[in-house]
Amino acid sequence: MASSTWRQSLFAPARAPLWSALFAILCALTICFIAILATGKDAVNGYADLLQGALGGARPLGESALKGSVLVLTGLSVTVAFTVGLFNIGAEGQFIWGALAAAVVGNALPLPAFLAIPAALGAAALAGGLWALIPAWLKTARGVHEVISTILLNWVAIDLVNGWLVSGPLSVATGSADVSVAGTAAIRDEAFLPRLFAQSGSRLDLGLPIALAIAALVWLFLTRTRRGFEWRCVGAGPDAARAQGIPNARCIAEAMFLSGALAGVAGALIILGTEHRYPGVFRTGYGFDGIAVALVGGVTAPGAVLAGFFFGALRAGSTRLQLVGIHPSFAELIQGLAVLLVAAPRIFAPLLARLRGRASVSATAGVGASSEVGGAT
Amino acid sequence: MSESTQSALELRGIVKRFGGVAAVEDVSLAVAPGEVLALIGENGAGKSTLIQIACGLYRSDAGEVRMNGALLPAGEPSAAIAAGLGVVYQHFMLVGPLTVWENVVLGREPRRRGVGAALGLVDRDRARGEVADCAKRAGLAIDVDAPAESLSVAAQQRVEIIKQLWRGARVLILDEPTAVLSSSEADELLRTVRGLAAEGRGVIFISHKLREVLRVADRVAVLRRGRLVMTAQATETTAEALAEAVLGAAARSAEGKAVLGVAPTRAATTDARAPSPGAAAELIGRPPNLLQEADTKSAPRLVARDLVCTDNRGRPALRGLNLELRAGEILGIAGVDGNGQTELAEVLTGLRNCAGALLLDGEDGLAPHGWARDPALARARGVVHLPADRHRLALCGLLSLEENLSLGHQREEPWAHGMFIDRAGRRARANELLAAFDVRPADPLARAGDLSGGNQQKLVAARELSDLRARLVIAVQPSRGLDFHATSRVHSALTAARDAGAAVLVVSLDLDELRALADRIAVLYEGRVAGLCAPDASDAVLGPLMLGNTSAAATIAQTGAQQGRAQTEASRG
Repeated sequence: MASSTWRQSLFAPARAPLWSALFAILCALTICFIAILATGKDAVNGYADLLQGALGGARPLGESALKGSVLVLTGLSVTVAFTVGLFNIGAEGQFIWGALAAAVVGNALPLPAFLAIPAALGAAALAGGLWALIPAWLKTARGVHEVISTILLNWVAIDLVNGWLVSGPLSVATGSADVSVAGTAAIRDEAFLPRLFAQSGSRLDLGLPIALAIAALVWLFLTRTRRGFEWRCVGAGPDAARAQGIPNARCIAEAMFLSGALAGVAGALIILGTEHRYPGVFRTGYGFDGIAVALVGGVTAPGAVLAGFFFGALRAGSTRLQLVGIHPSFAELIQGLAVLLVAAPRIFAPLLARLRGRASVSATAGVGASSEVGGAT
Repeated sequence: MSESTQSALELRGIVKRFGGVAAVEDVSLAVAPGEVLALIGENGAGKSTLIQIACGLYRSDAGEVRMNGALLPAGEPSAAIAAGLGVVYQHFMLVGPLTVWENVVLGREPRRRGVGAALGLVDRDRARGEVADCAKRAGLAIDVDAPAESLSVAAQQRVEIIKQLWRGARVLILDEPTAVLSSSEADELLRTVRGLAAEGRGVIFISHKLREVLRVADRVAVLRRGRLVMTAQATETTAEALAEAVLGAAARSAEGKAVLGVAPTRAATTDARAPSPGAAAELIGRPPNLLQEADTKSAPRLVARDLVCTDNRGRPALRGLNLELRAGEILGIAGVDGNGQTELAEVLTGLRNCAGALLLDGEDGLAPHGWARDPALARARGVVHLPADRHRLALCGLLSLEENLSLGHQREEPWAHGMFIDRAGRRARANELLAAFDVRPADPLARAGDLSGGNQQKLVAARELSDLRARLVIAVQPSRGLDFHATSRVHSALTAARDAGAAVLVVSLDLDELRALADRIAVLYEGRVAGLCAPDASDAVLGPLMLGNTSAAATIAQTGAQQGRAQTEASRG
């Protein structure tokens, strides 16, 4: 009951999502500014550098958009799961499987670019989607809460892929007598995502239009199609949906598959666009940040696009912070605060309302004690 | 005891406005010790607002509240409670796993003496004893050691009353206490209320049901649109006069009275039905009375044989239920709550598994992929459902009215076009339905969860009863929590569906409602049909059946069913 209350309030479309998200981000920037000042650093220059690193020219803009594209997809992943009422904390694991699948297929299949890229993206979507079906099945068949199962499956994915596959069976050095090198072999050139503005030195690639197109399709699906509507009904009122003949378990499975597929494609964008292989050390946190993107974006597809690019810019700019001796984790602080400020009112409002209710009940009960004494005399 | 001349609770010149709208306009009311004052009026007439002002939850814009002559500070619930004002709300506030006595003392537990007091230990024996005494004095039967969640609704209500008494309430306000009770439980409650008054307590009794009001109250006060339009001694007024006052001058006698249960005879309701189904019948798009003649000879639409199922806790709910239901007939299901009514409705709508045989127009519902195995299949066969728990089972509170109206039809014209939602078609159809069923606000983009209970039910009725394919309508407690107009709207939609040829099953705890609606009444007892009765069966006939006294039931069932059928035909002929 308690969890469904805050879940529903999170799921409820905010009255003015853009508005409250902007306000939260402004507050987060202010608080972080004060925090930097408190550490005795030059906050003004720090913010100037952050801005420079995020938006100052073609290359920084490209970096922001590049990272933003990936975050848009992981944000959409969490958003899609939310529409059926599930909180997918597992985008990170699905992201990793997608990245690995893209690296393997991009390396293995000798195809022309117009086939190699879709094949790698498709494999990534499939890998991420299948991984996400595990918590969906656990939820519908066994009643395991998806927050628990998706969190735990993240670590299973991380250890299986990073700890074993890419340093063992799928490692580039396997089969040769050389010292073992972690990470897969490089993908074929045909599978590289073409860079859009290569001459300007920007690394921005085809991932941006891909992410935007996917976001548009997800938005269209969720708001305009029958099935999208049925998913939302399952999220908004599972019992009512079932009573009206909507198959809950199937909708949950479909939505979790799409959720995982989106996170998987996000992983593929990194591999096909910039890494070009699954590296030995690959801990990006894009999947986890997708939760932040979805929440700040008001759990809507357009919101995920806006929030994704904002956090992308923040990521791109944060490397510059080090130039003035400010730890780049302050950018993460901004992100965390923004989530807290956006989500807090919606998480805490029902809680506060309940506490207020309880306070008045216990107050009345307490006074009732003295009244009985009065009444008896 | 205070002097009998002084009012126990007195409201003087209360005014309350929300925005510019007056919810309560210059209302003065008083209840004396030992008096039962009934407060009646439609949903939104200002009853709740007035109560919330009295108990300090709202601050009034003008006027004052006095307990035993002493002015209560406005907007301080604790002061009202300290002065001895207790309210039993419709929605109980009990902690499920705690026992009855724990619930009663919760928040002001008696402490142990001595060392225990320093440690803040609860004196369990004393608490338990006090609660048991309190219950016994008021004549309220309760097992003080039972967990609250194991109790029936009626018993939970008794716990709430005991809670107020134990806390020393001298004036009790009961907010629609009989809305959730069966008729025998309601009778029990009315006796309790008289007993409380006999002990010198003042009672304000809020209700929609005029007949019980006249039975229990010394005086009756009627609110309409925030104004006190009538107060009268119960012995000096009639249900007709009260209905007139509640509904206003515009109230057409037949419709209002049928709904209010003032004239619950067959003749009156058939008269009432004639003008009212208009909008709903037009929407359904078939002339009423189409299938009247053929039905009695045709095969029954629904046949249930030896239905057996369990409830949510795995206990037997239906234990070999047999039932037949014909097209163009309303079958009322009476019974004390918890005798399998909910489970029967769920079985018939595909929400609950069962064993036995279930045929809809001859089609086996319990075959491996039969229609009763899955709500989607049941719906596709034309089974529609107005559940009792409409918040949970019928509506998505977070979604808009138009989205809720399309729920269940979302794959069909005009709601959808191909794989896409037909937004223009949906809007147009939603506006049509909202107007036809008088849902307020008639804004297709409003959230369903923001509607009042009556309007939520009208919304569900608009969706379910406008279904052209409706062959079997299952309505559970269709008028629970609804005011007179909303009830009348839903009732006319049900009779319109019946007249359009659907078989209608109405489950209700309110016998007056069943008498007003049904062509036959089946009484459920412990998961079986204990008897079938004519719709004008008296309490004397229904009562023993509802309590499982089946020895006499066989003969009653025979004659009753025949009478019912004969009478139905007579009234249609």
